[in-house]
Amino acid sequence: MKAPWLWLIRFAGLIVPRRLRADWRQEWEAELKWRESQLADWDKLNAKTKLDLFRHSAGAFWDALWLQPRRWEDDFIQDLRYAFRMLRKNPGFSIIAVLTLSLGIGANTAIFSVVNALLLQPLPYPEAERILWFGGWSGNDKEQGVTPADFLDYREQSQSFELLAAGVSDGVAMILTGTGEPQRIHGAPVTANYLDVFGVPPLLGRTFVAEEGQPGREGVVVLSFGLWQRLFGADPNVLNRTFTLNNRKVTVIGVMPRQFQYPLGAELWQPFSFPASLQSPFRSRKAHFFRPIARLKPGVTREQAQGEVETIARRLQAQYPDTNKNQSIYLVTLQDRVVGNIRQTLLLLLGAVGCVLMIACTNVASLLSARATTRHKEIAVRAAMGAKRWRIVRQVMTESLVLSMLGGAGGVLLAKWGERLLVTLSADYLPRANEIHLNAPVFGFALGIAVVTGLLFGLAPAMTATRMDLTESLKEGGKTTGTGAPRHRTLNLLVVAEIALAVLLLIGAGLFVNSFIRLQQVHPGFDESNLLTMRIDMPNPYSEPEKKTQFFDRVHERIATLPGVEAAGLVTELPLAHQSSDTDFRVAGRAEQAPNAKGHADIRNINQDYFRAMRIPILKGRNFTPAEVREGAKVIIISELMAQKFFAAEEPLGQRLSLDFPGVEPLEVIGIVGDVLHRGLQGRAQQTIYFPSLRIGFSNLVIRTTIDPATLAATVRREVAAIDPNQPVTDVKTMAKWASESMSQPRLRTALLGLFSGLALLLSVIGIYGVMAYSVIQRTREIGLRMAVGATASDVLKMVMTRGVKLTSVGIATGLLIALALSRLLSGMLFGVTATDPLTFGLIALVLTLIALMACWIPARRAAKVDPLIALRHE
Amino acid sequence: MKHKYLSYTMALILQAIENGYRYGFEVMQATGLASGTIYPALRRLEDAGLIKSKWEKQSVAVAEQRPPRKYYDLTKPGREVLAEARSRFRLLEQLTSLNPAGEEA
Repeated sequence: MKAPWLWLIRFAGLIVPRRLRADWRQEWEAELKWRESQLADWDKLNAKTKLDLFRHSAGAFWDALWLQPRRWEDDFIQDLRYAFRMLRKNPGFSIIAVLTLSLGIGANTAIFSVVNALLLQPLPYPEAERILWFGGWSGNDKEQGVTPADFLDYREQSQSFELLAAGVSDGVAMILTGTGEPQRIHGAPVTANYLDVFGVPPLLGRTFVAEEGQPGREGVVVLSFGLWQRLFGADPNVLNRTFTLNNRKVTVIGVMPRQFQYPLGAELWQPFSFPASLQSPFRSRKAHFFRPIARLKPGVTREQAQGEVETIARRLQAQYPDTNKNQSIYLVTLQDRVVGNIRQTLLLLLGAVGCVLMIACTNVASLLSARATTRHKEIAVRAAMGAKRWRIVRQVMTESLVLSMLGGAGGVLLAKWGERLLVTLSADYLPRANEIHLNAPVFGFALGIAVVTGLLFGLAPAMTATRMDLTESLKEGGKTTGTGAPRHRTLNLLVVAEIALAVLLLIGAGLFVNSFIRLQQVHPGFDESNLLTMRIDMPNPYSEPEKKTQFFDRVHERIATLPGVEAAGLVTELPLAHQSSDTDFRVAGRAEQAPNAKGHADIRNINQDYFRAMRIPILKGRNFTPAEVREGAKVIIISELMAQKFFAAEEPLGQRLSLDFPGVEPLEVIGIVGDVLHRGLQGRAQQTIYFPSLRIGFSNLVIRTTIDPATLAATVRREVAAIDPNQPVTDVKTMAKWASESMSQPRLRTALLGLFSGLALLLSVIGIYGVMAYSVIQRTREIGLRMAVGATASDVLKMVMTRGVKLTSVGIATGLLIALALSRLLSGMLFGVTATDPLTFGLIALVLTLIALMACWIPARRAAKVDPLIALRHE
Repeated sequence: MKHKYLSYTMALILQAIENGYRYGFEVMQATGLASGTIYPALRRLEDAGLIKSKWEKQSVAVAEQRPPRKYYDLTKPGREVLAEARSRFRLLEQLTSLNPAGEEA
């Protein structure tokens, strides 16, 4: 019987790397045996010395453990070197595989970097999940603001919030003078506690204190990082500097850090004070222009807060039925609010690049599988020499992982470039764009998908490689005639999967292209070509309406007579430019309860040339006269939609409407004009009232030109400066540019999806071609044999093509079914086309069939040209 | 791999080998270190090229009626490193006077 310590050595030896095991055991056994015999000789072999021996042998475990890294290291390095040798041997294959994977991983990493920054990372504020955005909600309009009076009630009655603050709209235009050129900036009048909601400490100075929210104390401002840089050259001594804002002197008390950007685009914050008079519009319960935000008390959930504000809303509904009927509040986290619009697009793109990656994987897997079949002799020899199945699988997997790691490295490079491109392309509307970086989580993601893809595309060929009949493989003597059914089944499956994924992506892209084309064909209700627009905001010196009228009258006069100008219109809210203003109205002479007695409409102040400049058709009645514009006459023009809705059975002209402005008499309808898609080409036309006036302090110039509108910009600026050098002219853009910007998100979506699906198509065609070409080469001998016994070239062609057609049609059918099932996810993002548009589905199926057949045709024809004599000798 | 500065344990083992304790068990007894320390240390010293191992001839082992042993010897770099270590660890001096012959007495 063996001594227990020798058993221990045997046992510990099991975990010693096999290569070292015999040697290792011998060393330990020799010494322990020697010691044992020595002790026996001295007659000292007692319990104590035996225990000592046992203790010594226990050290063998440490020794064995210490040798573990060698096992891994040695085999691994061996595998690695072998993998690199294999890759070098087939440079064509390696380059295609690495490029394919780089594209797949790169696209995924780029999109993920955006998803990570926008959707996964919390906003850069402490405990950002506690910051909520208040949406005013009435019926189905979810984008409404909250009225100042309601806001004060919510602030007084709610218990859920640590802080409840509000800004006026998402900021307003302010005129800044006293620091050089006058300029229009985007300022945010906010309640004094507004910045505290975010919990972001200022970079310099301080934020507002409660007293600065009192009337008369508002002469302080906090600058954004950007404005601080632009205006004061990042001067660290900027605190207590003064300048003029809307003709009032203000003092700088703080600068916010670079990453603080709320509301989006705000360049400075100024405390807002509630006027004492309840009649002031800033105490109104009708005008929904407040945008409240809140910080939840610790431990209070959004749902609890939502319940509470709903209770308050119901109370207000009962208390003020006139104004608060149907009015409620919904709370969303600020994060959801900031990125909510783009979430769908991003997830869609993530899905799309996921498909591309899967196709890339399938492609590499099928290439590797195909290669594995030609390598079966090598593998059979290894197996015959005693390599275990797991050992061979690991070898093949190492090759895949090397490929995927190289692909991952290429992917990160591509992502770096792609992510910048993406941000540049979408800078107009991408929130938090400055937070998008290739950082640790993104690299982790790239590494993760590289490993996963490596395993994914490596597993199939590894299995193929080992699931083979050893004796058969060796018997075949290396002739490339193996037909092994299961091997082909794997390849077939991969090709089908690839085609199905390509169908899916192409249909998605097809739907978006289709919907984008329709979007471009939408007539906005005006002619956007040859229109130059710009914005003029009047500062307060023109506080008397007459002065404003005079100013705009002179602007109009000078510009309308410029050469190249056909008409110069003025309008308070420019279509497609995110400007809006609306009002309630009542039809004079209709009973309160009568249907269509009152309504809600957009309102625009315009001059007599607006319709002519925009080419909005006057359908009925007449235009305003210059005199009516100058005096702000009691006449209006309404849009066609409004005329149809309110005066379907009556003559609209001559009807009178009371607007919801105090002291304004009923206004007479003198004309009807065509509808305009004011809120963007995807939106619907709104009921609109046009009012003749130049009295409002801000206006947009729309200039219809007979020459390229961009060339007039400088001249027009000069003309305005000649009238008043302190008057900034901003947002100088052609109408075509506005239209193009309003389509930027659909455009980006379509472009990227188009790009990805093109990539998918290319990759899957390469895949089909590769597999077909490979199977033809593999069957060359068989084909030669068939031809030798009488098969014609067309028989062979048919045989190869049949397989291609089968695979393609199964793939396309599968893809179509998946696309049908998933299509409803897209329906919200499409315009003018249903998500199951038969034309798109049919067209994509047809195109893909043709392309796939072409990919099969080339190898099929090669097969048909096989010379039986050469083929039979083919090794 | 360069072992410019040796730990005391490593130096002790090198010193023991230099003194003629040439196989694992002997080194263990000479230094008083545990077997779980000695063997991994020997492997590491060998990896670092400070010692080299060789199996004794089968004939010798048979003649002495025991299984063949694995003997360790210092290499040239091993001796240099040990000389450097000896100047740092004065206690090693004590061990230099010992040799295998006097050990079991």
